[in-house]
Amino acid sequence: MLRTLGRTLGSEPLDRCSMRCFIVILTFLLTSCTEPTHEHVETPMVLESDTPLAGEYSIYQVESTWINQTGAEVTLEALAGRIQIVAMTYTSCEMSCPRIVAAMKDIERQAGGKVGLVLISIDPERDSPPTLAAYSEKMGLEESAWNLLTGAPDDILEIAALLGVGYQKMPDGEFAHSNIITILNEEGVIVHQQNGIAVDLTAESVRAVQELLENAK
Amino acid sequence: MWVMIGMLTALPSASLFARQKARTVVPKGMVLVGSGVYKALYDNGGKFDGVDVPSFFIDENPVTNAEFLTFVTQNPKWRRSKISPLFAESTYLANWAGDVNLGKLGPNEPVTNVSWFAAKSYAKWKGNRLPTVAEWEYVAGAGTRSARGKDEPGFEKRVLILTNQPTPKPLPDVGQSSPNYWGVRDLHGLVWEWVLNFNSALVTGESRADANLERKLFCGSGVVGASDFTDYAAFMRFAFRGSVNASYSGANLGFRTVRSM
Repeated sequence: MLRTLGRTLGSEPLDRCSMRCFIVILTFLLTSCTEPTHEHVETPMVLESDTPLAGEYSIYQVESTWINQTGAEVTLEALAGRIQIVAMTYTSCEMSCPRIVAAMKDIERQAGGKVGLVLISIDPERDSPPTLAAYSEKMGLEESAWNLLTGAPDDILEIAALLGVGYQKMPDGEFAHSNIITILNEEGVIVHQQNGIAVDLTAESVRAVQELLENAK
Repeated sequence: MWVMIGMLTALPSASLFARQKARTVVPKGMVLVGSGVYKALYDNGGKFDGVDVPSFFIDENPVTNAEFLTFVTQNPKWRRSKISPLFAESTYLANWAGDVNLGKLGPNEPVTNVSWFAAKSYAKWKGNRLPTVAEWEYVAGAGTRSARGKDEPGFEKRVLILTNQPTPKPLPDVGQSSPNYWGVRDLHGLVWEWVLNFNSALVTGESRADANLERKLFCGSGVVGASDFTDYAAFMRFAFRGSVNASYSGANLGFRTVRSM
């Protein structure tokens, strides 16, 4: 039986999900030969908990609700299943934010695969969904790929803490903030961060996204 | 005599506050803080006078072990064996005997070894939130007779002594120190406390030496230069906030919650 399964594995390329199923089934079959019947359900679970769960490091574990540029309520979990390029900015920022958006577009274009892009506003007072929609239009951000999110101030701080982004509203209404672009894998785990918008840093992000796209094949 | 003068000078705003207090329902365990201005320790080169702090409610005492135990009992994902490594380091509730067992810790001691994420989640569960730096510092700046402790003789020296004293083991129960002007206890000398925007201090580039490196990362005008060099205890608090990250937990770091009006 084991040999049959092994041959199946060798002849047909399996994606990661079916690979996991294969291990679970294999464990099930192996234990079914040696263990009493009532253990069947539990054994595959034990194997799963031995390998670190990606979910444990997923930032999608946060329990916050957000509103995007279309006015729709979204949870971060809804971003799962696609590689995401994430930055924290605000729409009235004229200095570094447009450059961050440009760098994100560059990463998407150069990586050459299907990815999602997320801008989380650090200025929820001014960045209402209509403002985000207008910004999206002005910057030419495809609605199918981009999510522009606003939320509660403490939830924004929580994401900032998870992404290592610092920001502070200045008395003149502008924000001091880090220029960090984060690459999340399909499960919401941080796989790469670029700290700054220099071309060579963007190139590293492109490579990180390409690697993820490659792994997903 | 001093009390008399203090009362007279504080009279207009104090009577306003007394009237506000009389018509406000204050949540259990919390006290009402009247509005005012917090003069930021790090201001923008003297161009701005301070941050307006609207009236709000704050916990009279820091959150206790017993209160946090109720939270983790009702919210299993925040138990120490369940918590995600993203939200807490291995020191999280490390002084407890088990997931829902305080062991030798007193139920009325302030809870410590909690991460910022856990503190934020606790506050949300209570229908509250963590205080901002401005709110916390504004409340902590109150003396015993007025909202501005700086005007009371010996206030800053007393706070500095309390801040510098070693953390006693075991920690004393909460609520044993005398209340300040707002009725809030244990702000100085018991435990350090998480604030909502603790990591903002970093951005202003004051507490990290390499300002040139940091400044490249931010837009908006960088804030350097302090407004008040006499308040050394406040410098210590800002330096401490700048030195931790949100998953950090330590044996002398707790928190309290606030609620907007």
